[in-house]
Amino acid sequence: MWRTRVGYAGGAAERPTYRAMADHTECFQVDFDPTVVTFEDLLELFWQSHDPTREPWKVQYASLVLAHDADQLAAARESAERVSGFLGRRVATRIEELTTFWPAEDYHQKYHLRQDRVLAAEYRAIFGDDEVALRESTSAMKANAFVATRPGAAVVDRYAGRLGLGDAGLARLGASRG
Amino acid sequence: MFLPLRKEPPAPAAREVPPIDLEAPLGLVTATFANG
Repeated sequence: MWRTRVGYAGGAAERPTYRAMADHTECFQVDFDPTVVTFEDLLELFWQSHDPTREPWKVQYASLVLAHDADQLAAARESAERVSGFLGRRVATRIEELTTFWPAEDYHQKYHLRQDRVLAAEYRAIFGDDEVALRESTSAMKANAFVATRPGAAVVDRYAGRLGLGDAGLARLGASRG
Repeated sequence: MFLPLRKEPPAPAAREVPPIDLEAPLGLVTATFANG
């Protein structure tokens, strides 16, 4: 996984915002290296990350796979059928072609990282006011994930030297040095 | 007439882009999901 971003998609409204999402759903995008991980691998994680048979109480929180091409569309449909057969229930996930992905407001991007004063200051020192650079940063993606999931020093240490952070920032992530 | 000199605070020096940001391979693929 190299980059992630959150946003709104699945609907037809133009320029949705958090306050006016209209017919869109809160989505996330991942940029991945297909020589390391496959779209099918991501689908497996996707099914495991939530109950896809539950009908959403609001379109904002629907379960969606928004395909970027015909191969993704076919793979997602096939995968959903298999999951439905395995669970013995209909999958409520909508599987459609992506039309437009509207990135969410800056304050939603790398949300966990932003809640940590030390890390937020470190990334401000790196990227200044360039919010797009922060959103698209692999380092920020890793740090955000580490803050959210606390994977432990063994994992964080594998990346520590390449994140561009100082000792204080690395310590916040749980690295063994810093 | 002498105008007072306006003292701008020094711009913070941007640090280098994190090395890992420069390591992304070509041919990345994007996927879009919503999981409720």
